[in-house]
Amino acid sequence: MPTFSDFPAIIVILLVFSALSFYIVLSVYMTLKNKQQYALKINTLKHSYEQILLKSQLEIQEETLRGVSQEIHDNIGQVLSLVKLQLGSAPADASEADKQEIIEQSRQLVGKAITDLRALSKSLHPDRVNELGLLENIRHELERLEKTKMYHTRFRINGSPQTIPIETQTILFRMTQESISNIIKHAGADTVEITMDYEPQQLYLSILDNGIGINHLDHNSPQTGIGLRNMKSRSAAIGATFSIETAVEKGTLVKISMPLGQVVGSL
Amino acid sequence: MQLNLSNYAEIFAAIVCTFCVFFKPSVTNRWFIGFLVLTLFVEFSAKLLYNNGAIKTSMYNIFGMVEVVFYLCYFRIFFKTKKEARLFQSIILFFLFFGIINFFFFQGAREYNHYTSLLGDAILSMFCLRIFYDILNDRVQGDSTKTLLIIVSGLFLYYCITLITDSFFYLLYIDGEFFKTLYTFVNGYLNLLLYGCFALAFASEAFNNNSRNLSS
Repeated sequence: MPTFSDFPAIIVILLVFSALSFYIVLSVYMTLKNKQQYALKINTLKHSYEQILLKSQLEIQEETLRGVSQEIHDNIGQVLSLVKLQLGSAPADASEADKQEIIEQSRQLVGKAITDLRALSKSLHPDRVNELGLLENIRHELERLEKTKMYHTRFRINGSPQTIPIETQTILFRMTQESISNIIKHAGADTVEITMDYEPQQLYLSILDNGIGINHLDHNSPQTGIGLRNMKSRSAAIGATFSIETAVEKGTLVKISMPLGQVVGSL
Repeated sequence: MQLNLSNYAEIFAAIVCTFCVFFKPSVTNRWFIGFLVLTLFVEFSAKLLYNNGAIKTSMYNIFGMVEVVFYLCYFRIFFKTKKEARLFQSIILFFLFFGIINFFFFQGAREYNHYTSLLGDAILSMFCLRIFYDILNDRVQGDSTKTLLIIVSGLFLYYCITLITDSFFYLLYIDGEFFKTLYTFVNGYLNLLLYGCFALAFASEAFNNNSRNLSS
């Protein structure tokens, strides 16, 4: 037989159930709100990553065109000018043998110009990172440095190269290109060494020069600040860490360390 | 005729819905306008029939079934797979069968069919939880997910708490006055909450720039 004590019980149960129901509804709203914020954050990161990737691709193209322009001006242009000079300077009364020699020298120079032009046309490929891969592109950059006869370069690969997503390769190549560009502009070095260490879960890319180093003041200069920030933001975009070890007159070591096997960019 | 708080809430929701139907018709607004008109008709008829308890109770019993079926049919439009369509149809048919049998053979027309009401409360509470789960897992189709969420939140709170009051319906026979006071108090504020959520949902859908009409 129900007693009067049932009445407080119903009120307690009602209150508890009401609280539970409100809690469930509130939890649903909070979860949805968190999901929305997370999705927004992901979109922002994805947008930021895509911007960095696009910027890197554009800078690679700019750098390539700059290199091509320089190559045409310094090498091919000079060679063809020399051919023109040679052919123009041959006296009208020169012997047949002399004429043949001039023609042969000119032919060799034109052949060299053709070879250089062919090599250049390959580097003008719009998607060279995709086509050649990171290692070949780095090798190509170091060959360009060697050709100037102002640098000794060395490229070492330790461990077994693993597959890296093409977007990550583009960003890594751009960072390498930028480091090399900084060495040419500021370091006053004559040796550049690039090492790629492939470990099972990690890739270490290091760029070492024997230049003047970056002193404390330079670290804080606007140009250096922007450059370092760019490198850091590019590293962050691919989940890598970036560090510089340097001392005055003792060269600079740029180290990029990236975990392998993760998919970045497809957030 | 004296109107109480829940009556005013119903009138307010009906006005907002009517305004939204003319300003920015959408599936939700078109669905609810007829139901709200019926609600107002039932409530005002009940007020007018205050001396005739038997007819009033019968009206509430039938309207209670209509309410549950209406909400289930509204939820149905957000689930388009055949499997889910069959589930909704089965639940509706089972509920109607139970309600009709209870109305004619068990509790009868003159007594409040709280067994039917209890079953309807349980079914709707469970479906509301199911819809929360689907919304959280992005499985609800269409652009009116926000509207659905507000409506389902109101329905869940209403039917979850009404489930308790209907479970303790036997107390009406022990201390009718206390239970009636408690039931009226709880039901009044739950109605205010429910119809307030409806009005908010209609307004949200009508004034949301990104909302589009659902294909019905």
